[in-house]
Amino acid sequence: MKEEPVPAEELQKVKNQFAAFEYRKLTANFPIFLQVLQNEGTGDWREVNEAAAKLQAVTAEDVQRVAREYFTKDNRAVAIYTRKPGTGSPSDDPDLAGLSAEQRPIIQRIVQALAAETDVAQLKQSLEQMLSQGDGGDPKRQQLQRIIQKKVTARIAELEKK
Amino acid sequence: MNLRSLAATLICLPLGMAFAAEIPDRPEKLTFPELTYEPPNPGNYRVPLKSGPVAYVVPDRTLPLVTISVLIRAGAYLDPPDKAGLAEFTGYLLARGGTQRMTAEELEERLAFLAANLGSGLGDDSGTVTLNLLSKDLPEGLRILREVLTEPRFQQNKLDLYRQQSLQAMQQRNDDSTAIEGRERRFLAYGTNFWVCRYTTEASVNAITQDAVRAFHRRWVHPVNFVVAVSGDFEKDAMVAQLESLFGDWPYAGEKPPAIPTDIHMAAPGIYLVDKDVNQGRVAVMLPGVLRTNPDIFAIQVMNDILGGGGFTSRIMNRVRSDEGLAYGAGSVFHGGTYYPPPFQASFASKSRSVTYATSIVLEEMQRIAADPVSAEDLATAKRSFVDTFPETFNTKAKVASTFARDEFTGRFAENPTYWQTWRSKIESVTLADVQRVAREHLHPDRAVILMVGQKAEIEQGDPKHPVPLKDLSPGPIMQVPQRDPMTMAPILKAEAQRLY
Repeated sequence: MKEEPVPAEELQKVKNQFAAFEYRKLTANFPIFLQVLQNEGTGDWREVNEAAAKLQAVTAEDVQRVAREYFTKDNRAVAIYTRKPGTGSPSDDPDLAGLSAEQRPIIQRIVQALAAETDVAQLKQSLEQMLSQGDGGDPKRQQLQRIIQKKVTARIAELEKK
Repeated sequence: MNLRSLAATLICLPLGMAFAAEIPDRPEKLTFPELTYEPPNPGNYRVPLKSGPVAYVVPDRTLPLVTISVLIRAGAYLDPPDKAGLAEFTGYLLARGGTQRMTAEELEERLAFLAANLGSGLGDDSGTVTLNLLSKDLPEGLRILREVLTEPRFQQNKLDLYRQQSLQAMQQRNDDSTAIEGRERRFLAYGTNFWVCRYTTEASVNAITQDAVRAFHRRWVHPVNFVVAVSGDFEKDAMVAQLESLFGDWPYAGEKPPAIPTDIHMAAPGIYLVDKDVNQGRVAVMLPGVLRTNPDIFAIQVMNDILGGGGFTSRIMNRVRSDEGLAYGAGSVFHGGTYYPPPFQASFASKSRSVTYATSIVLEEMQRIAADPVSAEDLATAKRSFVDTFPETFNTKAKVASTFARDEFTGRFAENPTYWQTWRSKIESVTLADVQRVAREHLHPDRAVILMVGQKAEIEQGDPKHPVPLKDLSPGPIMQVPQRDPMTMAPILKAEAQRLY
């Protein structure tokens, strides 16, 4: 990104996507309401009208310039995640067997959040919601949902014992 | 001041109407003129194209986007008996399997470059191919749409992948009690031989070859079976000309499909229990339904809103959830069918032990709305909820085009061209006596077909404080319905259904 300007085709693809995406957010009253609100929250509601033209005006040189300005060693923060083997860490959870490397941290974050949640009624409501919403028939989601439901159920049981 | 009127105010601003000076310092000081709303008139948008289809063309220059939606008269009712799933596969792959000129991957990349959304699908009784894109790219979008409709590639590896996904989902069919309930509801409401109950099986999905998909496409995906909805940034006459070339000179002959079969056979009244080890029992209380052309359809809608269709203001929700805390959600639907009458259904999920108690409350409310007139206040609330949300039917130009196209497709426009113009007055004219009359005519708790999916032993045991024996819920028999093999849909037990007692 810093060494060569992006090819025109690649830049136009991104511009098309920005344009279509921004306009699609304005096709009904409620989303317009949200856009105005969000733009006001981040500075000025008028951006809802002005952002599109600004995005379309970006040039390949601009892209290269900001890449050079911001992608510097000084600006870099690198986090390396490792795990200690077999010490009862959350990643040893047998429920997580068969999940991909991307899916595991999702469940681990949920387990952490559940440990901090003490409102049984809230948890039951969430569980109900999950059960009533179904899974949309996506097998990958089904597996994740089953595990999440199990974790929520376990946390409810734990809290109710206390 | 509600959310919607606030939104309406904000929307005026970006249009540059220079209201800034008139905006008061507090939102509650905003004032609005009284709203008079008239729905759009379909005649203003209807264009019978020379190339065959009827199109609804709705220009809307507010955003540089165009939406084109082609409704297709084809669906699962046309599946050959040994190839259940053929319509679904064909519909899915139409926009995702490439064209003669482009491989699936090239098509996907080109659509991504244009930031165009192209989707396709064939459902039970109709299908759609929809394209939404920036108006600057409309000519290319129309070329792609023509290719997708006339010469789809149905690339073999995409077909294989979809088959694999379909088989994988099939294996999980019995994992979830919601899915079991949904299927058994259909079997009970329509009879196992009705076409909507012809589920895909391992054998039927494996019988779907690329040749079968191609043949299905050539037979039905043709302008004689299309109705078109177009909205967005274009000039009307120019769009009509573009549509004529989109649908003109079709390269193959199509065929008009036969009428949709309507031979439904609802199960006999009684209780039908599927034993499934889950901690919540799911219940559906069903009765014979009506067609949307039923002269009482508006009274039925209002009655059902009060009974169980109106969410937190409805009686079933109030008693089962708010008063007794037995379910997260509980309610009823009583839609008029387009081709065949879908059943009246009241449903909820509750912990196994309280299933029979909650069911008895639902039946009691069905009884009560037939026995006693509803209050004038209940009637007014129900009517308001219909009338005040009515403009949402047409709140975008895409919805104007698609609602009218759907009416053309199902024949409602031909039967009743002023359907939407008279809709609110028909709701308003429903009386207290009408509500009771339709409840008496249609809601007979003793004739209900009651489906329960859950832990049989726990359900039978009932609620310790409110024990309601299963046999008190219906004068009909209590049957145990076997679970079905997920890959063949055949009942796992030898007997079709087993009478319990």
